[in-house]
Amino acid sequence: MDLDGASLRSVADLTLAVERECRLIEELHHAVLRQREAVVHGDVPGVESSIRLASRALLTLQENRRYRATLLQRLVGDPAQPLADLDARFDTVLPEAFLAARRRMQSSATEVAEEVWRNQEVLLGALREREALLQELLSGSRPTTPGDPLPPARAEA
Amino acid sequence: MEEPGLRQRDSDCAVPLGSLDPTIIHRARAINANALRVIDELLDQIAEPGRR
Repeated sequence: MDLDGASLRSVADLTLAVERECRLIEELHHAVLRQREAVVHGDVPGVESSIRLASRALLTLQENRRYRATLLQRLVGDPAQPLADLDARFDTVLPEAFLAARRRMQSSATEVAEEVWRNQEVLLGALREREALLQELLSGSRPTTPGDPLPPARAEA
Repeated sequence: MEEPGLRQRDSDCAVPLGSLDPTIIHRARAINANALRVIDELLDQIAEPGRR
């Protein structure tokens, strides 16, 4: 397929859409870091605020994804065309602005996914700490966890 | 007789006990799970074939 004038305009629109998605991923990244800091400091309003920020970024990302699908429909006739394989649909190299935006989106998305996984672990840790505290309050002794040192009597045995 | 006090938290503990109730923790985990799903779908769209 040739990159004619109409196709080039569609690729330009697609580039703008991908750049917008990059900004939304950065917003999500910001919300995720804020969430972790708020959890570590026990800051309830901070966690609430980070949830709102993340929800908004995710909703807008999904809207943008639908818009990207309409652009792909216009460009290659397939709304589900993966951006990764878009190059193969054309005889010439796609504009560098598009390639750069696609690379940036991939690296931003990979980074934010790692940060979200880290938050999931921190939140799980917070839940377990709370359970351990409740156990301690109810039974008068804290349950042993793998990281805890053995009590002196058992350590000497 | 003096009653035993509650154990004090270590000052360098990363997560203060009891400050976040489980409801908000579960809400945060749910939004994070949604974020992971959305990002994973996005990565499926843009990753080079054979790289994921």
